[in-house]
Amino acid sequence: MVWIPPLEQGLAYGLMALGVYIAFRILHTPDLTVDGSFPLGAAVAASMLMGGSPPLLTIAVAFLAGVLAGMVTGTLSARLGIAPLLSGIIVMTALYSVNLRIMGRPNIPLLGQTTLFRQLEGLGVERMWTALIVFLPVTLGVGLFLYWLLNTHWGTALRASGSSAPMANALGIDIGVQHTLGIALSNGLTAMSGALVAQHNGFADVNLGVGIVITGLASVILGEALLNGGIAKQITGVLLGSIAYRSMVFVGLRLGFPASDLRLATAALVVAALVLSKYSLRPKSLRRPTVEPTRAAAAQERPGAEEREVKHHA
Amino acid sequence: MLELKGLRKTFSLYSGYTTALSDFNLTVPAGQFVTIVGSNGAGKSTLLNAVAGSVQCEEGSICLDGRYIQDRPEHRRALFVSRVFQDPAAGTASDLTIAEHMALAKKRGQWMGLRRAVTRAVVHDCREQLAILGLGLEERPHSKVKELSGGQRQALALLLALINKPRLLLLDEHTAALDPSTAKLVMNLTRSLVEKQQITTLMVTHNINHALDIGQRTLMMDSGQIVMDLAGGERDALTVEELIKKFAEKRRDAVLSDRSLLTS
Repeated sequence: MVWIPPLEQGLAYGLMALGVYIAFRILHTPDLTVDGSFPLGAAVAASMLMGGSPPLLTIAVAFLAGVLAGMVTGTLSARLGIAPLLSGIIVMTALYSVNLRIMGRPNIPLLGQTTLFRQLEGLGVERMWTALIVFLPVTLGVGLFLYWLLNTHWGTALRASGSSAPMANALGIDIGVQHTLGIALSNGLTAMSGALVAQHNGFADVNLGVGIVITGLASVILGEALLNGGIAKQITGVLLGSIAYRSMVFVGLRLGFPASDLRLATAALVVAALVLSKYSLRPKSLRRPTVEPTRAAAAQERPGAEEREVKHHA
Repeated sequence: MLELKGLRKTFSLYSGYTTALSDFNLTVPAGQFVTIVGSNGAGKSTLLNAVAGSVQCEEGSICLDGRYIQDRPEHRRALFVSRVFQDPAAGTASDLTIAEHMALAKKRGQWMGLRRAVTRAVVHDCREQLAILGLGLEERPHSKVKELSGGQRQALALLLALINKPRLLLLDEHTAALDPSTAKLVMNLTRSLVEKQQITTLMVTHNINHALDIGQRTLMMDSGQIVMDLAGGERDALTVEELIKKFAEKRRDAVLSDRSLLTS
């Protein structure tokens, strides 16, 4: 059944896409830690599996490792005042060494190990369904958890601090703490995704995360093109976007495009989507009027023009 | 009651230092509505930011209803102090719905727990409160705030700032970014909502008419100090022209072009 692999991949990478969504869309922060925390999750899971840990535990520990990495990035930007973009790059760079330390070598094959999928096979599940049986409940569960979390007071405050820092501060929200926790959650989900993907692919590699943030962003943007609105629609959109992205990759590879061109194609897709979303994908209500605006409408468009001019003279 | 004693704040610039507040003293009795005017750089906004906590003073104390709050960061003053910014985009969050704003405003300065923010009770309350504004917003509590106009956002920000009756309200030129008719609407709302609840208020404005018309007391600031403090009959009798003239007299380096700063 040809639809299974892209669906599996879409769901497994979907957790990472949700992490990117939290950073880029909720916190409005371009966080590149993701490129390091994805292989971090894979490294943690692979090393633990080699040591004989139960597969479910490795995923939980991978999540916590990602949370920790995100806390470091968040602290660098929120407490130490380093620009968020740079904080992410710094931690991503540091994580490369950390991941090598955890794994002890650049690549760990998991072919002989008891992964989650092997465990299911052991219970008598047919091999082709094992991945879906793991990914569907995990990814949908995380999606539902996020939906609940983002609609609580705390989650609403998190969205407020991303959307308008002055307002959040004036409402008594500690935006530094919120930012750090948000980035931590984002990277926790990413590392969890890395742990699942490593077990599914049957190996962990220190270079697993290179450019992953752009594939996550591509999923988020595709999702926005498919669905947009409230939190429920946004989360569903991100997951659908992730599945759509993996399907496109799958079809592309089947058509014979070389796998080495994947990153270039993804980069082009993100640029095209970003440019398009500035123009035609906007809802009609937000588009600029095509007719020449009247004087009154122009005043509405440029509120306070009069008072500003007054200040300008001084 | 708000008591400011010996507040001092200097900013460093390329060309040296500028004093935004110097030995600033002010006592505002509970429930008084104070308007503040002055030219650019007089220290009006710094004063409001210092009281709100987004600017930390080098010296001085801020006492609100018996509590010294000068050492608290902004988010830990929010339980007592609420504010409306000049920029509607700063005072409201584009990505959130009106009802979500209401849910957060009800928790201003309090612990934001893990309970559902927008409950039926919040939406009901939201509709009731929005009806006061008379802008038709009560029909659409689940609209995102980015779909609102600047005036609607500012009216909403004002309404939200008054939820849970703050001990002190700070209005920093909250109508300056609006077109004249919307500015008038928001100013009328300010008058009706704030005066009705008798909240201690500091309002910075560039509009001399508003400064003399609204509230009970008018301060004129220059170089980080109060140069004129008007209340009662003296204030009621004063015309806009007289105030501008007085201002020119009071200012040390009196520049008449300041007239252009004070619109009437």
